[in-house]
Amino acid sequence: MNTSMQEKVGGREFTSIFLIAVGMKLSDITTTILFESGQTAGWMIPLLSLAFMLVAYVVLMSVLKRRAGQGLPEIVFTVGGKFGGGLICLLLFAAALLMTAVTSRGYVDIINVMVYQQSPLYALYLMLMAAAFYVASRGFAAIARISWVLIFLIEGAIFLLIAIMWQDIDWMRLYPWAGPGVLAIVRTGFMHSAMFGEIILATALVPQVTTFKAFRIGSAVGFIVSSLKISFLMAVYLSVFDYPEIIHIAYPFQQLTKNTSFGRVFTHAESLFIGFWLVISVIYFAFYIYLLAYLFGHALRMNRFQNLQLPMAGLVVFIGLIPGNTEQVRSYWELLISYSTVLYGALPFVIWLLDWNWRRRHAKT
Amino acid sequence: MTTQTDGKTELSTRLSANLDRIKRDFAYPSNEALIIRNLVVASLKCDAAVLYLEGTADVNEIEKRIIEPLIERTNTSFKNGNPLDAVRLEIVTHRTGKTACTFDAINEGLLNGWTIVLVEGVNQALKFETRGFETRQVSEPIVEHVIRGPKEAFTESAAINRSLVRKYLRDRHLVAETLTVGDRSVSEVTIMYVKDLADPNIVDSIKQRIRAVRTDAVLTLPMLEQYLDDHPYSLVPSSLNTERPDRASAFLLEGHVILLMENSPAALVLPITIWSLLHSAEDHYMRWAYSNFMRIIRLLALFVAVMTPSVYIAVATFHEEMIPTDLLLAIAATREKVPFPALLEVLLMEFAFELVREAAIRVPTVIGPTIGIVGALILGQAAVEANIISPILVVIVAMTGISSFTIPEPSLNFAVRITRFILLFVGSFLGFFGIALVIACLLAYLTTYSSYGVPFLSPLTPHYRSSADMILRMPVHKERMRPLNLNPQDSVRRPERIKKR
Repeated sequence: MNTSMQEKVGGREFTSIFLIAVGMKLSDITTTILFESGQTAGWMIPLLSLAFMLVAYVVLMSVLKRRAGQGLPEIVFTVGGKFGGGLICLLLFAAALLMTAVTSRGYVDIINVMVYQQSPLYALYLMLMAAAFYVASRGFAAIARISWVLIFLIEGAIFLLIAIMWQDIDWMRLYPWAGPGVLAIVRTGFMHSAMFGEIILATALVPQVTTFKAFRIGSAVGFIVSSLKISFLMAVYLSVFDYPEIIHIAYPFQQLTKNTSFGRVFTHAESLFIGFWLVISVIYFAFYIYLLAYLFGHALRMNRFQNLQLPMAGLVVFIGLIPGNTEQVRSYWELLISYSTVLYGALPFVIWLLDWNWRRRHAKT
Repeated sequence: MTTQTDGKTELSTRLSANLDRIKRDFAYPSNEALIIRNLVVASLKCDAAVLYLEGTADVNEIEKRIIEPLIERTNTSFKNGNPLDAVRLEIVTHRTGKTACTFDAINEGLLNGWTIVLVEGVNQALKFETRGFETRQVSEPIVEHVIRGPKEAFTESAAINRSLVRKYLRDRHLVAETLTVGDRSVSEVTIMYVKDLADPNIVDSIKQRIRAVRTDAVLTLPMLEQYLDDHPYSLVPSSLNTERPDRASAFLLEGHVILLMENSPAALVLPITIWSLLHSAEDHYMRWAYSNFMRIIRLLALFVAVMTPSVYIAVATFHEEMIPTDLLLAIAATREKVPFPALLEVLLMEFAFELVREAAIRVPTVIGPTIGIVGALILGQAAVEANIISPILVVIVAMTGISSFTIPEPSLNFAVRITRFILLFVGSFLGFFGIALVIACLLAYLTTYSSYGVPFLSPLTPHYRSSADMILRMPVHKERMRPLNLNPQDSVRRPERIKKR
């Protein structure tokens, strides 16, 4: 048995991890916030953000392709030197850490509000992160393999959800299709493109994937399919709940599942969907904990970055407990997305320039 | 063994000295098992002795093939000058015959049923394989019985077991190697694999593990299984016991390795995946649709066996809205009289069920049926009438119990039952939230668990090419690939042929 192959992740597994890590956004606070600024055109924002992020992605891929087999940290350390590399890694780490903390807090809020009103928030939070830590501690292979095992079930569940809700959909509610105006939509789409920041962060994991081709196809397919899925689901939310009701619904996905029923006998199936959604959230955060430990470990050039997973999980909980309530979580999220958009948007160009500079210098000598 | 006490192992040329040494080793004369027959080899005109252990050797064979020729042959001209060669090649008519130079080899031979011949003036001995241990006849499988398919099972004799495997798999590449384990009581372990299929790395690693076992005695295969195991504390088994030679042969053909041992009526299959635990021996004897139907039923049963009690508790405690209103009212009405919380009820009932199950295995077969009657009456009807438990719980526990009986593999069965209790506690503590967290952790464990280097959920994940014989299976004519997760040397079962019309 080739042991090195076992630890690396194949194309299918990597694609499904991407489908989950990006696709999960259709079920959290992202959608609500996008509806607030995008109104009836909110469902277009993911597509526009995708378009903006694709540019950055293509630029970054051109560098990665030239240095096949190397991940983002290795590349920035080569082209940016010890200081520059460390700085970029730490910046990425900081953005990812804050994002994870805020997002996970949003998830725990959902669990707390929708199902477990009586349970203390921090207890739910600790348990969710403990499970995510355990999954992450089994390695990247575990995260990827679970994703592959579950991906068809996940897509099937979403399909089932839409099929059940089909009779409540009124597509006319998508009008007026431009919402607050084309220009405003494009601007919002650009400002929120950091919601696909995973695509930049995930390039750190290139060495964990069997081939560069698998990475390229996996990330591109995961990226595009997920954003289409988010966009479509947002259109469904809008046409079920209508505008402006949609912006008063805190968690459209969970609200949608609450409306599901199988015939007249089983009138409430939401716990089933929520349970399933919880399994996937554990994997989602496991992926983030793994990524955080990986980035931070590489920024400090540690070999045993796995040991950082527990401190990372703890750090996420501590930061996540700072916001007082859901409203604050949202405003932090908005703030964070705007700043990280700058980071994720500019970084590929900076790396490309550094790489160009590096090549020029080395061509001479 | 004896050499450790006095260090000398070479034979001397004096027959009496050699005999004294062997007598000392076997505590003769207080140990009456050692039989020594002194005689004079008629044709060589020299003293000799025939030795064997009572109960291990076939006495008729010794008399007819060894002692008779030694005494009765009177021809005096031999081609071989060496008396030992003359005895071995020209006098004795037994089918085997090897020379042994050390007392270690002689003692081991005696213990394993070989007959030793010592000749005066020679510092070597002859040994003949005359094994005659008592064994049972080949009988029907007890655990893995099938409706269709052969009804032969392995017995306690390794020789018979090897012959059974060879009967099913007549391939000249089928290799049977013998290794020994145990320092005091030496047992032979036969490792069988198809030389041009099995991954040599897996075979080597298994052989190394067997050689690395350091202990007094390994009497049976289930003990050896635990010595070889990488994860002794894990709930998940990493090897599979089968008592069916046809199943063992099917595993060999996929590139697995099997171990056989004297005194063990089973073959140990390594490495395994979760699919080999879920499949039954019969799956490939039934037609495509029938066997897939069985597999779906068994898969559902697996989920029911693992999840039902915990889901019931979670729904009853945290998510009541999921139960249809009429049923909810009915359940509430029956539960009204029961004083205990739902968790305690389930635990009581599950405990009672596990009791019946354990008792049914331990009890002598004569009074076996009473257990069923007492169990059914007391646990079902009386407990409900006494308001200790509610009727819906009897249904749930019974469903769970019957479902767990459909799991074909005993090790997996235990794993499922223990997991059920873990989920039960988590479900009563945290509802679906807890169950979801534990399931995510379980999946993480299973996906990274490996049995002798082969990932447990492969070829599903990590993905390998295979015939997709996992949850469902394809018709046999389409099962052309061997599962590549075992890294077989030949991945195709049958070379490409002209397509059938």
